[in-house]
Amino acid sequence: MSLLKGLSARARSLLASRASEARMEEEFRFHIAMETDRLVAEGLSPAEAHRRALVAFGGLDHHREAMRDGRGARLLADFIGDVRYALRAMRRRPGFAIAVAVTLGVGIGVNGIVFGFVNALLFRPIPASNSEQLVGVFSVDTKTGSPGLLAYEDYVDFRDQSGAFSVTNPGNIAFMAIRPLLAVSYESTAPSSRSPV
Amino acid sequence: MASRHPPESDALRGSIDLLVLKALSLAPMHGWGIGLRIQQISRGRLEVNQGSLYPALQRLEHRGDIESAWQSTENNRRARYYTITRQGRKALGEEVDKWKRFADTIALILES
Repeated sequence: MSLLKGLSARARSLLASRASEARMEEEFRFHIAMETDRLVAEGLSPAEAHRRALVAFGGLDHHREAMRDGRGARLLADFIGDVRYALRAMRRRPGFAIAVAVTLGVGIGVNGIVFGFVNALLFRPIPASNSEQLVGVFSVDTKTGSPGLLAYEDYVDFRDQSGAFSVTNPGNIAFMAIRPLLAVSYESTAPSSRSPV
Repeated sequence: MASRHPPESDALRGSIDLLVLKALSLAPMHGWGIGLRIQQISRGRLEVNQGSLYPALQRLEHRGDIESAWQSTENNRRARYYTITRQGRKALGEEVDKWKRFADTIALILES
């Protein structure tokens, strides 16, 4: 139980360093006040008693620093102790340690891949200039409400005859925000080779 | 560290821990009271900065040899009272045995 109490006292002084400081100041003040009272009872003037109490205490700042060093040394010693303990545990059961490392590695790796996909597909805008004006065009079966695909010829009709879209020529390289160093425009080849029937 | 206040030697530091435990084994007490009690026990022969008690108290509390709580004194002042733990009593017993063996050994050598 004493060990537990020691540990909890340690944890408390780590977490609440400000509380430790306040406690220290109050204890020091109390000590000086008690010593001053004792000296006054021996017949000294209050001022002289206070002065002698401070001298007997022996340098407030010196003792403050010693208390802080004690807390800091404890923090460092605890950290080193924790690391040593972890290494010892790993050496004692290497199979378990490897299993944990692999599990963590795979978990973090898969997480990274999934986030990469989601980030590229959903969060970042499409890498095109004026990407907020881009729209997707789909067909919908009015009876079932299920979406369907759109034939290229239908797309061309919508594009040219609906008047609802301001058309950016997809064959125009300048349309892309990413500028290729070397590119061949197939604007004139692909669509026009399929001449409407 | 200021040169006016060199840190205590390990021997003195160890003996401060021992004296604090001895003083607290009689009854729980606040820091100032512990200092007074040590002075009385040693009949004023030990010249120790009263402030040196507090790092020692902190050290002992971290080790689990003593514990502390706020309480009111007879004059209605708030003070931190220290109590020796079971582990502290054990440590005190072992330290006292060690000191006695040491003193016996020295005495034996000097009387031979």
